[in-house]
Amino acid sequence: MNESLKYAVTADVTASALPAFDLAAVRARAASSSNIARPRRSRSWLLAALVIGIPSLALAASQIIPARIIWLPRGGVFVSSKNAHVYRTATPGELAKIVQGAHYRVVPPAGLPAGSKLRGFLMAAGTESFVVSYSVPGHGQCCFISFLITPLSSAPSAQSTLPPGYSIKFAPKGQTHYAQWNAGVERVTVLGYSIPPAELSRIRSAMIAAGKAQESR
Amino acid sequence: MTVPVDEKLVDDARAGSVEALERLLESVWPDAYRIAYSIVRDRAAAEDAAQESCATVYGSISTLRTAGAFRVWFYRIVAREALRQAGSSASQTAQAAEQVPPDRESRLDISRALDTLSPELRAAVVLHYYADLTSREISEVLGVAAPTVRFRLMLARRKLKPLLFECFPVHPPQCAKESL
Repeated sequence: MNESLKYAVTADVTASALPAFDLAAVRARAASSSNIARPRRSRSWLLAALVIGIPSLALAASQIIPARIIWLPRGGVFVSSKNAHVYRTATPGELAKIVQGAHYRVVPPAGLPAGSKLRGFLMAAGTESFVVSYSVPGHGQCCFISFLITPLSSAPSAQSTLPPGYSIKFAPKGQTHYAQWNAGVERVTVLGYSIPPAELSRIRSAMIAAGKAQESR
Repeated sequence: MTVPVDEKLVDDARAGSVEALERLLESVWPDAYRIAYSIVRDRAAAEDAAQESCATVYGSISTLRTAGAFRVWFYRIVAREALRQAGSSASQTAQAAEQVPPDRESRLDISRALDTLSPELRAAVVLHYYADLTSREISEVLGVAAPTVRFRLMLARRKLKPLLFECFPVHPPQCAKESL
Protein backbone atom coordinates (compact mmCIF):
# COMPACT_ATOMS: atom_id res chain seq x y z
CA MET A 1 0.00 0.00 0.00
CA ASN A 2 2.71 2.47 1.01
CA GLU A 3 4.91 1.63 -1.96
CA SER A 4 1.95 1.93 -4.31
CA LEU A 5 0.99 5.24 -2.88
CA LYS A 6 4.56 6.50 -3.00
CA TYR A 7 4.83 5.57 -6.63
CA ALA A 8 1.49 7.03 -7.53
CA VAL A 9 2.08 10.29 -5.72
CA THR A 10 5.57 10.69 -7.15
CA ALA A 11 4.28 9.95 -10.63
CA ASP A 12 1.49 12.45 -10.22
CA VAL A 13 3.75 15.16 -8.83
CA THR A 14 6.41 14.79 -11.50
CA ALA A 15 3.86 14.46 -14.31
CA SER A 16 2.80 18.08 -14.09
CA ALA A 17 4.52 20.34 -16.61
CA LEU A 18 7.30 22.34 -15.02
CA PRO A 19 7.42 26.06 -15.81
CA ALA A 20 10.84 27.59 -16.40
CA PHE A 21 12.60 29.15 -13.45
CA ASP A 22 12.12 32.89 -13.76
CA LEU A 23 15.04 34.41 -11.89
CA ALA A 24 14.09 37.95 -12.84
CA ALA A 25 10.65 37.50 -11.27
CA VAL A 26 12.18 36.08 -8.11
CA ARG A 27 14.63 38.96 -7.91
CA ALA A 28 11.83 41.44 -8.39
CA ARG A 29 9.76 39.85 -5.67
CA ALA A 30 12.74 39.70 -3.33
CA ALA A 31 13.44 43.35 -3.95
CA SER A 32 9.98 44.22 -2.77
CA SER A 33 10.09 44.71 0.97
CA SER A 34 6.83 42.85 1.42
CA ASN A 35 8.50 39.68 0.30
CA ILE A 36 11.34 39.68 2.73
CA ALA A 37 10.83 36.88 5.20
CA ARG A 38 9.37 37.90 8.49
CA PRO A 39 10.38 35.40 11.15
CA ARG A 40 7.86 34.61 13.84
CA ARG A 41 9.90 36.33 16.43
CA SER A 42 10.03 39.61 14.53
CA ARG A 43 7.57 41.34 16.84
CA SER A 44 9.39 40.24 19.94
CA TRP A 45 12.65 41.41 18.40
CA LEU A 46 11.09 44.74 17.63
CA LEU A 47 9.96 45.00 21.23
CA ALA A 48 13.38 43.93 22.46
CA ALA A 49 14.99 46.48 20.19
CA LEU A 50 12.78 49.19 21.65
CA VAL A 51 13.36 48.05 25.20
CA ILE A 52 17.08 47.84 24.67
CA GLY A 53 17.30 50.87 22.47
CA ILE A 54 15.72 53.48 24.71
CA PRO A 55 17.89 52.97 27.80
CA SER A 56 21.01 52.21 25.78
CA LEU A 57 20.70 55.46 23.90
CA ALA A 58 20.26 57.35 27.12
CA LEU A 59 23.16 55.56 28.72
CA ALA A 60 25.42 55.87 25.73
CA ALA A 61 24.71 59.57 25.69
CA SER A 62 25.87 59.88 29.26
CA GLN A 63 28.97 57.83 28.46
CA ILE A 64 28.65 55.72 31.55
CA ILE A 65 28.69 52.29 30.06
CA PRO A 66 30.76 50.57 27.39
CA ALA A 67 28.84 50.60 24.14
CA ARG A 68 28.58 46.85 23.81
CA ILE A 69 27.00 46.15 27.17
CA ILE A 70 23.41 47.16 27.44
CA TRP A 71 21.64 47.19 30.76
CA LEU A 72 18.11 46.00 30.34
CA PRO A 73 15.31 47.83 32.13
CA ARG A 74 14.07 44.68 33.80
CA GLY A 75 17.46 43.78 35.13
CA GLY A 76 20.17 41.78 33.53
CA VAL A 77 22.68 42.61 30.88
CA PHE A 78 22.64 42.22 27.15
CA VAL A 79 26.20 41.74 26.02
CA SER A 80 26.69 42.09 22.33
CA SER A 81 29.87 41.34 20.44
CA LYS A 82 30.68 40.57 16.84
CA ASN A 83 30.09 36.87 17.31
CA ALA A 84 27.68 36.45 20.17
CA HIS A 85 24.80 38.01 21.99
CA VAL A 86 24.29 37.01 25.57
CA TYR A 87 21.55 37.89 27.97
CA ARG A 88 22.21 37.28 31.63
CA THR A 89 21.57 38.64 35.06
CA ALA A 90 24.02 41.33 36.09
CA THR A 91 26.64 40.40 38.64
CA PRO A 92 27.19 42.41 41.83
CA GLY A 93 30.54 43.49 40.37
CA GLU A 94 28.84 44.92 37.32
CA LEU A 95 26.33 46.71 39.52
CA ALA A 96 29.23 48.22 41.45
CA LYS A 97 30.77 49.44 38.19
CA ILE A 98 27.51 51.06 37.16
CA VAL A 99 27.24 52.73 40.54
CA GLN A 100 30.81 54.02 40.22
CA GLY A 101 30.25 55.19 36.68
CA ALA A 102 27.01 57.03 37.40
CA HIS A 103 27.21 60.79 37.02
CA TYR A 104 25.34 61.27 40.25
CA ARG A 105 25.79 59.83 43.70
CA VAL A 106 24.34 56.43 44.28
CA VAL A 107 24.25 54.59 47.55
CA PRO A 108 23.98 50.94 46.66
CA PRO A 109 22.10 48.58 48.96
CA ALA A 110 24.25 47.56 51.89
CA GLY A 111 23.89 45.41 54.97
CA LEU A 112 21.81 42.79 53.25
CA PRO A 113 21.55 39.37 54.91
CA ALA A 114 24.15 36.83 53.80
CA GLY A 115 23.11 34.90 50.71
CA SER A 116 21.07 37.74 49.24
CA LYS A 117 21.13 37.53 45.49
CA LEU A 118 21.02 40.36 43.01
CA ARG A 119 18.00 39.83 40.79
CA GLY A 120 18.06 42.88 38.64
CA PHE A 121 18.18 46.59 38.52
CA LEU A 122 16.55 49.34 36.61
CA MET A 123 18.10 52.62 35.76
CA ALA A 124 15.02 54.69 35.41
CA ALA A 125 14.49 58.36 34.65
CA GLY A 126 17.28 58.40 32.14
CA THR A 127 20.20 57.81 34.46
CA GLU A 128 18.83 59.53 37.49
CA SER A 129 17.45 56.80 39.64
CA PHE A 130 18.14 53.21 40.47
CA VAL A 131 15.82 50.36 41.26
CA VAL A 132 17.65 47.32 42.52
CA SER A 133 16.04 44.02 43.38
CA TYR A 134 17.40 41.30 45.60
CA SER A 135 16.03 38.02 46.75
CA VAL A 136 16.75 37.45 50.39
CA PRO A 137 17.07 33.86 51.55
CA GLY A 138 14.58 32.46 54.00
CA HIS A 139 11.82 34.86 53.16
CA GLY A 140 10.02 33.14 50.35
CA GLN A 141 9.59 34.09 46.75
CA CYS A 142 7.89 37.37 47.46
CA CYS A 143 10.94 38.57 49.30
CA PHE A 144 12.25 40.95 46.72
CA ILE A 145 13.43 44.30 47.92
CA SER A 146 13.46 47.20 45.55
CA PHE A 147 15.64 50.08 46.44
CA LEU A 148 14.77 53.24 44.68
CA ILE A 149 17.58 55.67 45.12
CA THR A 150 16.47 59.05 43.93
CA PRO A 151 19.43 61.27 43.17
CA LEU A 152 18.28 64.44 44.83
CA SER A 153 21.71 65.85 44.12
CA SER A 154 21.17 65.78 40.40
CA ALA A 155 17.41 66.30 40.30
CA PRO A 156 16.64 69.11 42.72
CA SER A 157 13.18 69.79 41.39
CA ALA A 158 10.33 67.39 41.76
CA GLN A 159 9.65 67.64 38.05
CA SER A 160 9.83 64.26 36.35
CA THR A 161 12.59 63.76 33.85
CA LEU A 162 11.32 60.40 32.76
CA PRO A 163 11.60 59.65 29.06
CA PRO A 164 8.33 58.90 27.24
CA GLY A 165 6.90 55.54 28.19
CA TYR A 166 8.50 55.36 31.62
CA SER A 167 6.78 55.91 34.89
CA ILE A 168 7.68 55.27 38.47
CA LYS A 169 4.86 54.55 40.86
CA PHE A 170 5.54 55.06 44.51
CA ALA A 171 3.71 52.90 46.98
CA PRO A 172 1.16 54.77 49.08
CA LYS A 173 2.55 55.72 52.44
CA GLY A 174 -0.07 53.68 54.21
CA GLN A 175 1.09 50.48 52.61
CA THR A 176 2.48 47.91 55.00
CA HIS A 177 5.57 47.00 53.02
CA TYR A 178 7.00 50.42 52.58
CA ALA A 179 9.99 52.15 54.14
CA GLN A 180 12.00 55.25 53.40
CA TRP A 181 15.14 56.87 54.66
CA ASN A 182 17.84 59.24 53.50
CA ALA A 183 21.28 57.94 52.70
CA GLY A 184 23.53 60.90 52.18
CA VAL A 185 21.76 63.15 49.75
CA GLU A 186 19.72 60.33 48.27
CA ARG A 187 16.25 59.20 49.17
CA VAL A 188 15.92 55.47 49.52
CA THR A 189 12.56 53.79 49.22
CA VAL A 190 12.09 50.13 49.92
CA LEU A 191 9.04 48.53 48.39
CA GLY A 192 7.42 45.17 48.84
CA TYR A 193 9.81 43.81 51.39
CA SER A 194 8.94 40.99 53.72
CA ILE A 195 12.07 40.72 55.74
CA PRO A 196 11.93 41.18 59.53
CA PRO A 197 12.14 44.72 60.91
CA ALA A 198 15.47 43.95 62.56
CA GLU A 199 17.01 43.05 59.20
CA LEU A 200 15.52 46.11 57.58
CA SER A 201 16.90 48.26 60.34
CA ARG A 202 20.37 46.79 59.74
CA ILE A 203 20.12 47.60 56.02
CA ARG A 204 18.93 51.10 56.82
CA SER A 205 21.86 51.73 59.18
CA ALA A 206 24.38 50.34 56.70
CA MET A 207 23.07 52.50 53.88
CA ILE A 208 22.94 55.64 56.00
CA ALA A 209 26.52 55.00 57.06
CA ALA A 210 27.56 54.43 53.44
CA GLY A 211 25.85 57.67 52.46
CA LYS A 212 27.70 59.59 55.16
CA ALA A 213 30.99 58.09 54.08
CA GLN A 214 30.27 59.09 50.51
CA GLU A 215 29.52 62.66 51.53
CA SER A 216 32.71 62.97 53.50
CA ARG A 217 34.86 62.00 50.49
CA MET B 1 11.93 11.74 -5.28
CA THR B 2 13.10 15.30 -4.75
CA VAL B 3 16.23 16.85 -6.20
CA PRO B 4 19.17 16.57 -3.75
CA VAL B 5 20.29 19.85 -2.25
CA ASP B 6 23.93 20.86 -2.72
CA GLU B 7 25.00 21.83 0.79
CA LYS B 8 28.02 23.71 -0.48
CA LEU B 9 25.74 25.98 -2.46
CA VAL B 10 23.67 26.51 0.67
CA ASP B 11 26.76 27.37 2.68
CA ASP B 12 27.99 29.79 0.03
CA ALA B 13 24.57 31.37 -0.21
CA ARG B 14 24.43 31.74 3.57
CA ALA B 15 27.82 33.38 3.44
CA GLY B 16 26.43 35.99 1.07
CA SER B 17 27.18 34.69 -2.40
CA VAL B 18 24.36 35.85 -4.65
CA GLU B 19 25.56 33.61 -7.45
CA ALA B 20 25.40 30.54 -5.21
CA LEU B 21 22.00 31.58 -3.95
CA GLU B 22 20.59 31.94 -7.45
CA ARG B 23 22.03 28.60 -8.52
CA LEU B 24 20.58 27.04 -5.40
CA LEU B 25 17.15 28.49 -6.13
CA GLU B 26 17.30 27.24 -9.68
CA SER B 27 18.16 23.76 -8.45
CA VAL B 28 15.30 23.64 -5.96
CA TRP B 29 12.78 25.30 -8.27
CA PRO B 30 11.33 21.99 -9.57
CA ASP B 31 10.62 20.84 -6.01
CA ALA B 32 9.19 24.20 -5.06
CA TYR B 33 6.81 24.20 -7.98
CA ARG B 34 5.83 20.54 -7.70
CA ILE B 35 5.15 20.69 -3.99
CA ALA B 36 3.22 23.93 -4.40
CA TYR B 37 1.24 22.48 -7.28
CA SER B 38 0.46 19.33 -5.33
CA ILE B 39 -1.05 21.47 -2.62
CA VAL B 40 -2.88 24.16 -4.58
CA ARG B 41 -3.67 22.05 -7.72
CA ASP B 42 -3.56 25.13 -9.89
CA ARG B 43 -0.65 25.91 -12.21
CA ALA B 44 -0.71 29.69 -11.93
CA ALA B 45 -1.15 29.65 -8.17
CA ALA B 46 1.60 27.04 -7.83
CA GLU B 47 4.03 29.09 -9.87
CA ASP B 48 3.14 32.14 -7.84
CA ALA B 49 3.66 30.28 -4.56
CA ALA B 50 6.95 28.79 -5.75
CA GLN B 51 8.25 32.18 -6.88
CA GLU B 52 7.16 33.76 -3.64
CA SER B 53 8.95 31.04 -1.70
CA CYS B 54 12.13 31.55 -3.71
CA ALA B 55 11.90 35.28 -3.07
CA THR B 56 11.52 34.60 0.64
CA VAL B 57 14.62 32.43 0.55
CA TYR B 58 16.37 35.18 -1.40
CA GLY B 59 15.73 37.61 1.41
CA SER B 60 16.35 35.37 4.39
CA ILE B 61 18.92 32.72 3.55
CA SER B 62 21.34 34.34 5.99
CA THR B 63 19.01 33.47 8.86
CA LEU B 64 19.38 29.75 8.18
CA ARG B 65 21.57 28.21 10.87
CA THR B 66 22.96 25.18 9.08
CA ALA B 67 23.08 23.96 5.50
CA GLY B 68 21.60 20.63 6.61
CA ALA B 69 18.45 22.38 7.75
CA PHE B 70 17.83 23.94 4.35
CA ARG B 71 15.55 21.24 2.98
CA VAL B 72 13.00 21.26 5.78
CA TRP B 73 13.23 25.04 6.08
CA PHE B 74 12.63 25.50 2.38
CA TYR B 75 9.74 23.05 2.27
CA ARG B 76 8.19 24.89 5.19
CA ILE B 77 8.30 28.14 3.25
CA VAL B 78 6.87 26.49 0.15
CA ALA B 79 4.15 24.54 1.93
CA ARG B 80 2.98 27.50 3.96
CA GLU B 81 2.93 29.77 0.95
CA ALA B 82 1.01 27.15 -1.03
CA LEU B 83 -1.45 26.59 1.79
CA ARG B 84 -1.91 30.33 2.04
CA GLN B 85 -2.59 30.50 -1.67
CA ALA B 86 -4.98 27.58 -1.47
CA GLY B 87 -6.96 29.64 1.02
CA SER B 88 -10.68 29.49 0.92
CA SER B 89 -10.81 27.67 -2.41
CA ALA B 90 -9.17 24.73 -0.63
CA SER B 91 -11.91 24.42 1.92
CA GLN B 92 -14.46 24.64 -0.87
CA THR B 93 -12.75 21.77 -2.64
CA ALA B 94 -12.71 19.76 0.54
CA GLN B 95 -16.40 20.41 1.11
CA ALA B 96 -17.21 19.44 -2.46
CA ALA B 97 -15.25 16.26 -2.03
CA GLU B 98 -17.24 15.40 1.04
CA GLN B 99 -20.54 16.02 -0.72
CA VAL B 100 -19.85 14.34 -4.06
CA PRO B 101 -17.93 11.10 -3.81
CA PRO B 102 -15.70 10.36 -6.79
CA ASP B 103 -17.19 8.11 -9.40
CA ARG B 104 -15.66 4.88 -10.57
CA GLU B 105 -13.69 6.50 -13.38
CA SER B 106 -12.18 9.12 -11.20
CA ARG B 107 -11.14 6.42 -8.72
CA LEU B 108 -8.77 5.16 -11.37
CA ASP B 109 -7.17 8.54 -11.64
CA ILE B 110 -4.68 9.25 -8.86
CA SER B 111 -4.54 12.87 -9.83
CA ARG B 112 -8.26 13.33 -9.48
CA ALA B 113 -8.19 11.34 -6.29
CA LEU B 114 -5.62 13.69 -4.84
CA ASP B 115 -7.86 16.54 -5.91
CA THR B 116 -10.49 15.25 -3.54
CA LEU B 117 -8.21 15.66 -0.55
CA SER B 118 -7.99 18.91 1.33
CA PRO B 119 -4.80 20.97 0.80
CA GLU B 120 -3.65 20.03 4.31
CA LEU B 121 -3.97 16.32 3.57
CA ARG B 122 -2.32 16.74 0.17
CA ALA B 123 0.54 18.64 1.78
CA ALA B 124 1.11 15.79 4.24
CA VAL B 125 0.89 13.20 1.45
CA VAL B 126 3.24 14.95 -0.94
CA LEU B 127 5.78 15.77 1.75
CA HIS B 128 5.77 12.20 2.98
CA TYR B 129 5.57 10.24 -0.26
CA TYR B 130 7.28 12.59 -2.67
CA ALA B 131 9.72 14.53 -0.49
CA ASP B 132 10.43 11.55 1.77
CA LEU B 133 10.05 13.52 4.96
CA THR B 134 9.30 11.83 8.27
CA SER B 135 6.19 12.75 10.22
CA ARG B 136 8.39 14.73 12.58
CA GLU B 137 9.92 16.71 9.73
CA ILE B 138 6.49 17.27 8.23
CA SER B 139 5.28 18.53 11.57
CA GLU B 140 8.07 21.14 11.44
CA VAL B 141 7.20 22.05 7.88
CA LEU B 142 3.48 22.43 8.48
CA GLY B 143 3.70 23.74 12.01
CA VAL B 144 1.47 21.04 13.48
CA ALA B 145 2.14 18.24 15.93
CA ALA B 146 3.63 14.97 14.67
CA PRO B 147 0.54 12.96 15.74
CA THR B 148 -1.56 15.34 13.67
CA VAL B 149 0.63 14.59 10.67
CA ARG B 150 0.27 10.86 11.24
CA PHE B 151 -3.48 11.28 11.55
CA ARG B 152 -3.63 13.24 8.31
CA LEU B 153 -1.58 10.60 6.53
CA MET B 154 -3.84 7.88 7.86
CA LEU B 155 -6.89 9.82 6.73
CA ALA B 156 -5.41 10.37 3.29
CA ARG B 157 -4.48 6.70 2.94
CA ARG B 158 -7.96 5.70 3.97
CA LYS B 159 -9.45 7.94 1.28
CA LEU B 160 -7.02 6.80 -1.38
CA LYS B 161 -7.03 3.10 -0.48
CA PRO B 162 -9.96 2.03 -2.67
CA LEU B 163 -8.37 3.73 -5.64
CA LEU B 164 -4.98 2.18 -5.06
CA PHE B 165 -6.48 -1.26 -4.59
CA GLU B 166 -8.14 -1.03 -7.98
CA CYS B 167 -5.24 0.64 -9.65
CA PHE B 168 -2.39 -1.46 -8.31
CA PRO B 169 -3.68 -4.96 -7.63
CA VAL B 170 -0.50 -6.71 -8.74
CA HIS B 171 2.15 -4.57 -10.34
CA PRO B 172 2.00 -0.94 -9.31
CA PRO B 173 4.46 0.68 -11.73
CA GLN B 174 2.86 -0.74 -14.86
CA CYS B 175 -0.63 0.09 -13.78
CA ALA B 176 0.37 3.58 -12.80
CA LYS B 177 2.01 4.15 -16.13
CA GLU B 178 -1.17 3.17 -17.89
CA SER B 179 -3.43 5.30 -15.78
CA LEU B 180 -1.16 8.32 -16.02
